[in-house]
Order: sequence, then C-alpha cells, then structure tokens
Amino acid sequence: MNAKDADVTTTSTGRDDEILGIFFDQSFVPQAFVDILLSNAAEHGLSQAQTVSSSLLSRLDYYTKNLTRELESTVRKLENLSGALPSAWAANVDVNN
Amino acid sequence: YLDISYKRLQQEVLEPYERAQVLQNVLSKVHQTSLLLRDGAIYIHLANRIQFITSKQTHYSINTALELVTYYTQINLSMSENVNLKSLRLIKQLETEVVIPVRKELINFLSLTLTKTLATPEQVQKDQEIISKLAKALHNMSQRDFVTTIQKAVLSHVAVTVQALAKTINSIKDFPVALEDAMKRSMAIESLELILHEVKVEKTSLLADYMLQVKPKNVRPHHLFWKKVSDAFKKEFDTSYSRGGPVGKSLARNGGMIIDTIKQRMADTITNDADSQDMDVMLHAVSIINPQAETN
Repeated sequence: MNAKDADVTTTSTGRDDEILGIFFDQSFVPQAFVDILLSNAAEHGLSQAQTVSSSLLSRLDYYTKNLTRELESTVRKLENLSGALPSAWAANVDVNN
Repeated sequence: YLDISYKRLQQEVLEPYERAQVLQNVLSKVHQTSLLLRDGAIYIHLANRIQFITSKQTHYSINTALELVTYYTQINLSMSENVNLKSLRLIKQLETEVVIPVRKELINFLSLTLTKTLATPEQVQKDQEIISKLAKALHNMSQRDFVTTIQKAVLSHVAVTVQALAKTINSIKDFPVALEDAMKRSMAIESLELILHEVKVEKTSLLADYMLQVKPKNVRPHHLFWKKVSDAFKKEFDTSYSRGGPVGKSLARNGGMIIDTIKQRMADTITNDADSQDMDVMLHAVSIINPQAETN
C-alpha cells in the first residue's frame, strides 16, 4: 500500500492502481484470488492473514465507493442524453428533409 | 455530416455505455471479492479464537465451553451464508486442523457434563439453569448427540430404578423406599422436561424436538420411564411370584401392601390424567398378585 494507491480518483479509476487494475482483467476470478491471497498470507501466521484481509477489505470498500460514484455519473450522462435525444432526432429529421 | 453525427454518437453514447458496462462488471467482482474475503476473515478470526482458547487449557470450564459454542454457531452461520468459503484452501486447512477436532472435544465435554448433571434427582433440581444452558449448547453443536445424551440419562434412571425395585423382591418391606426413590427420579425427569420445554429452538422447543427424534415418538420421557420400569419389574416380579417358595409366598402375603403402596404414593403426585396413567402402568407390573392369596 503506497501513497500513490490512495490517490485513485473517479477519473483515474483502474489506471494507476495496480490492485484495482486486476479487477478490470476479464479473466479475474474472485474466488481464486481470495484463495491465493489468504493461503500466502497464512504462511506468515493467521494474524498476518487477518491483517492482509482487513487492509484489503478497507481498500475494496474504497474502490466500491469510487466505482459506484463513477458508474452513477456515467449513467447520469446517458440519462441526460436520452432525455435530449428525441429533440435532437427531430432536428435531424428536419435537416434531412 | 453523418461522420460528425457518428462521432458524437460514439463519444456521447457508445463510450459511456461501454464504460458503464465495464464499471458494473468490475463493481460486481469487487463486491464478490469483498464478500468472500469478509466471511473468510470472520472464519479465520473465529478459528483463531478457538485455537487460542483450547491451546491454553486441556479441561474446559462450562463457561469456556459455552463461549466456544457461540463461535461455532457463528462459523455455521457464515458457512451457510457463503458456500464458496468451503473451497478456500486456508479455510479447509483450519477446518481439519482446528475446527473439527475441537468440535468433537466440545461435544464430548458437553455431553459428559450434561450426563453428570442429570445423574441424580438432587442435582437435576439444583442445577436447572446449568442443565438448560448445557442442553441448548449441545443441541446447537449436534442435535444427534443432544438426543442420545438425554435418552441415555433417562435410561440410566430406568436401570437404577429397576435394579432397586428388583432387590426388594427378596425383602419386600423395602418396596416403599425403592418406590419412593423411583418417584424422585420420575420427578427429576419431569423437571428435565420442563427445562427442555422452556428452551426454544426455531419454532419448537428442545423437548418437542427431543420427543420427535426418539422412539417411541412423542412420548413424554417420564411416561417412558414408568413404562420401562414397569415392564422390567413385571418380568422379575412374575417369575418370583410364580416360582413360589419363601420369596413367592412373601410376595403373595404382602400383595395388599404392595398395591396400596403404589396407589397411595403415586396418587399423591397425580395432577392430571396423564399422570394417573403412570400409576396404572406401575399397578400393571404387579397385576399377577392374587388378592385371595393374602388370606393365607
């Protein structure tokens, strides 16, 4: 966890952050990821596995918050657009005629 | 113009749409990872607690055992809520190394402690609260072990009573004392019924659950007690009575006393029809007594 990681913003989501990047990978399987993560951490003791889990969990909460915000703003853009579409189409039709 | 229009469509509609799809997919994966990791972390925490507690002591106290049971209840809960948890290697390892072995020990401890507490009528009356806790905990851990433990406790009271009553065949003047003890045990079993009745599990009670699981089904344990006592005593009594000799003759001579004792003592405790069945059941055990023999 470095300072750069904490700097994820809605615009840079998934680009600068290595951990977040893996969730953008099409072949990412959550179950396999957690399996490897916990097994590796537990080699250094159960408390290590607990520490790793809890710090990743708070990281994931952070991603969820940002991703949700970005998704909402994207959806809002699309909604505004669809609200504007009929009149735009209507204008196009006029021009074509 | 069409080109510009397409560019706009691309920028304003298709790209955000694709972005939204990607984001939704990523969110879903983050969410799945979070859920699994959270349940995994809870499991690790609980297994760690269990390991810590059991590594410190070789003999549990009742309170330690009850604490462990709450961890197991939580483990069962997160296991049932997240089936993927079982597939994680670390969880499997903790399950084999910690959770399952301690579970067995814990069930043994609860069953043994409950058995000890149910062994004498005096203790049943004295330790009602502990019995209630132990029974509930054992039922939580293993319904089957709960049922077996209660059943064994009832049957052990039957065995002790049958033995005591059988002894009186040779010295029938002791019969009232033995019957008195039998009634104490029956009352202890009734107390146990009440305790189990008051512990609610899901939509039923421990008593109802117990009575569903044992054979014969839906028979109150203290009725079963008298039935088994009577059946076993009747066998011994009939044999000695029919054989005659000094013992048989003594039984015949004291027939009236035996019947009166049963009627008087057991009538005292009759509070409803079901209880009067117990007296009839016990009278049946000595039904071989021929009232005319007494005149000899």
